[in-house]
Amino acid sequence: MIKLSGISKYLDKKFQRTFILRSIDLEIEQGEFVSIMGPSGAGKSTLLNILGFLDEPNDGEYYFLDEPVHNLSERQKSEYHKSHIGFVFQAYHLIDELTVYENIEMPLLYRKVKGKERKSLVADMLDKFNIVAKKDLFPNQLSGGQQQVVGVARALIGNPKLILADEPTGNLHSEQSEYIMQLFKQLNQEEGVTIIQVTHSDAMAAYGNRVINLQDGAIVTKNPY
Amino acid sequence: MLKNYIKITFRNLTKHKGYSFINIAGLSIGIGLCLLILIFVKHQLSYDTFHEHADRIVRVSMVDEEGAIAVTPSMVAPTLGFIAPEIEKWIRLYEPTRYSPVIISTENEKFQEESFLYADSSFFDLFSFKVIAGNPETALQKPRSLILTESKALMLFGTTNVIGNTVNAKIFNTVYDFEVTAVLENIPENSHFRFDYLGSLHTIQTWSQLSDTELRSANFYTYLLLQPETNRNNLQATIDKYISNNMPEGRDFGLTLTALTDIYLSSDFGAEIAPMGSMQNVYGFSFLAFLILLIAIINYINLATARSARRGAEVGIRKALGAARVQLIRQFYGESIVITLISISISILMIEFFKDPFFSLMGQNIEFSLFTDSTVLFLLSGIMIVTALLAGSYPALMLSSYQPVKVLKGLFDKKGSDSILRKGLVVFQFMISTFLILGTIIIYLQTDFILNKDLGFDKDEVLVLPVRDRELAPKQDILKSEILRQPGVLNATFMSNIPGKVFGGYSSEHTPNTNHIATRAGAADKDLIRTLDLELLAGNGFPQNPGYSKDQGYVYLLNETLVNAYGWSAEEAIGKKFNVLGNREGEIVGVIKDFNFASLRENVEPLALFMNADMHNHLLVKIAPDNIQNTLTAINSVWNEIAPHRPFEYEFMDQQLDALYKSELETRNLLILFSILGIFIACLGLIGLSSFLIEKRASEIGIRKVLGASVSSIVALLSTDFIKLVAIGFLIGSPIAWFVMNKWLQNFAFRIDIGIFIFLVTALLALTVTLITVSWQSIKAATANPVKSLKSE
Repeated sequence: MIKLSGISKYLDKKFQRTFILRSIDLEIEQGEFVSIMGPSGAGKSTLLNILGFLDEPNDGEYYFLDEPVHNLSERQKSEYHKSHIGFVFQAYHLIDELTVYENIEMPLLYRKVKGKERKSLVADMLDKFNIVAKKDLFPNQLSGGQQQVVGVARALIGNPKLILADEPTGNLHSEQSEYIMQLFKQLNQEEGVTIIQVTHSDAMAAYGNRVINLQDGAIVTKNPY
Repeated sequence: MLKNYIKITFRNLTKHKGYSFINIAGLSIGIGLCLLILIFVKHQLSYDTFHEHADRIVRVSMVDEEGAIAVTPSMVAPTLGFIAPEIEKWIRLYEPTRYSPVIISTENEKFQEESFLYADSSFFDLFSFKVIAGNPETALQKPRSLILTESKALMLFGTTNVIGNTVNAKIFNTVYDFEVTAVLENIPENSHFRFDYLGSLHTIQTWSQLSDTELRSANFYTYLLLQPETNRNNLQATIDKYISNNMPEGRDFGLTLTALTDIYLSSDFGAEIAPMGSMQNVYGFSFLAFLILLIAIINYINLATARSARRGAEVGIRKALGAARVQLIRQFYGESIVITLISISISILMIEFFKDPFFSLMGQNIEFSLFTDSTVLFLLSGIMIVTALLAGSYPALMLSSYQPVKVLKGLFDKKGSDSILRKGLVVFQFMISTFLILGTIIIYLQTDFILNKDLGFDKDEVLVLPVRDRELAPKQDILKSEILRQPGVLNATFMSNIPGKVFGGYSSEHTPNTNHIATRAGAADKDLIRTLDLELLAGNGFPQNPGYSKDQGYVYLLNETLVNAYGWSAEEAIGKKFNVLGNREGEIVGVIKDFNFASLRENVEPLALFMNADMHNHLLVKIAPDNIQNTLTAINSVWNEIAPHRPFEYEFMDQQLDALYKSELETRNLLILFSILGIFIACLGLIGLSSFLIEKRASEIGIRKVLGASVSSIVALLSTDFIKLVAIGFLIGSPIAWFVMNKWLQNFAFRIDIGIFIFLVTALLALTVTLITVSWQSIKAATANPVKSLKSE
């Protein structure tokens, strides 16, 4: 599904080039549940953003479903965002001015899904995640865990093939974290959704079936912790 | 999707109330002002366009050694009609009320009317004023025909059904019984000449001027209806050729054509039929209105950039969720359109409330309807599109272009292009504000200077009574002496012309020499110097014996400028032979100090005053400053006794003089309004901007406080940034204002100096306003508990 070869990302400052990622080679198959681990500044999030087309590498090639991403136009990228990729962020990134219902609904609006169908899809999602009662609340009226549940619901409503999660449990306490991870595991096993998450925690990584260790922008084999 | 945009717009609006208020208040004021000014501009440009043949009508003006004047001699119209076949019709207008009021009498009442015109019978072939009753084709054919406007028909008879009624009018010294032949709708405001009464020019059949065969006094406004597709240059050439073939050698005389629709805005002719507008005002006011709108739009853009960190995150999420850039652009423009629409609705309300006081401030009387007038609607949508596009441009084009990863992580360049744009815009706003403040102060000081300048004579508490009247002529002296006997009356003098209105232009000579000097001249009586408190520099002034008449030889009072022009000292001039117009032989009996008998736009010209009882057009009465009402009542009863055939009407000279500067005073009022609003909107923006920027620095402030910074040092830290911007705005704005205002001041021969003081005051003002605005927010931030701001990180 994903094939990276020689992906590099660096910052040029005057006479110094600081590498964030150093020629990463990576393949991820459909249906995997991958955890990217590594200390702060290792380049985990950057890698994830590149995987999600939110950031561009300086060097190297990236094939998504055998399509060369470096050749995609802005429009084609947003097509993939709509149809293939769902994001879950550490800071949830819900839109403050929209209610729970409206936040979950938003990806469907961009996909131009008809009103009736939208309604039933959102209702399914609310039901699935047990948040029907909270549908008219605004994000700041929810706890962090609840917000992240909404975030996951929003990521899933587009029925994505791939979920990219950047420290999805980073702001949550352990009970909430477990709940989210269970959700991910279930999705991965029952619905075959590919999941790539960034995490600091071995416990969270244990839910997945593969760990990629990053250190100083490069993939290392041993666990750096 | 649209619903979603609108929803988020409104939630944003209600969530950030202060921010919405600043944007909407600023934009509503800006839009309202712009619309009012555009309506004014439209009105100015619409002058005379309502005539069906407007594009084929031209007016003929005369050019001679005295300059260009709007009137021509009587024979010009028929002669042109004779020599140029492309002239289809011509008419002449003659305005007796230009010289003295017309007295209209009904059975019970007398009215002193100021707006009476005579016209040739082809009037309606050229002009399409709307006729309510009567046949316009024939209405002016017979002598003693009179056309009334609706309001005058109602005033005189209480109905418009007045065809065939008789109107008694005393024009100069003759009484006519006119027959009403037609009634017109009131003359539209946007007609360059307006009238209440229109009589047939043939009425004054015996008037030799009508059949003049030589060029005599220029008294007539001449209009031509040209054949369609007439080449005006060819016509002008025909006229020029005819003049050069027929005019005696050495006479400076020319005729020039002005298109009807150009008269109002471009006329700078003397002796105009009514006060004209100016293109300069049209441009100036539109420019200023646009500046105000621009300040409001800048607020919107600035606040949007200040909030870009927050809105940026939203952009990032939306992009990650699959929003294409176009959709985001649409969303942000949608927001600016919604805000513009809200502002427009508010501005429409404001216009409904303020249009009348606003237009009267401009000296205009403009009727319009916001919802039915298609051009107004067109202008409104124009303003809406411009505002929404400009205001929405930054968020729509800039925010939507961000890379999602940057905005999501809050990786905003704190000193990046955003803040340069923002600073630039603040500088620009305060450049405009500086310009407005300086302009206002300078106009204010100049008008104040004009209104209060010592004119060299006493203009206060001087009544002006029009007395040009054949019946009154033999009783003039009685009238004056009776008025003088009333308590409270100090002095009185007759004059042919009064200061502030034009004195005739002649040439004068010192008899042994043939040295001619262009001189203004007029008549007065022996009490002139006392009444106006003029200063006599040499000689004894006019003879005081009541038996003097001009038949004993003219006596002259000359002003210093005239004496200097002849190269004499004041003393030398006394006793010298003098002559005005070649047929008023006489002697110089006094030299008076220069006084400003014309407007202060002009330098004092040479002036000669003489005594001639036949030229007593006005009686100037100087009264005591207390009990003015009693004195007026007393004069009124004297008047009624001696001149029962005329209503008692008077004016105060200082008011007449102030009226000379009507357009400057209107400009001043408008500018004051503009600067107050402009500065208000700019300050609103500053409040919004500073609160956002200070919010951003909350943790910095917290850390500084924890490390021991004092409140005042933090306020200073936060305010300095803004003060720098305002200072730069001032530095750029003030030379521009200096340049423009200096140009404006050139209109006046007597003007103030733009001193450094004015700039200091403006700088101080701008600084104070900024400090007050910004420190409000900074003090709030500086006194906040640091724990709170640090915790929120």
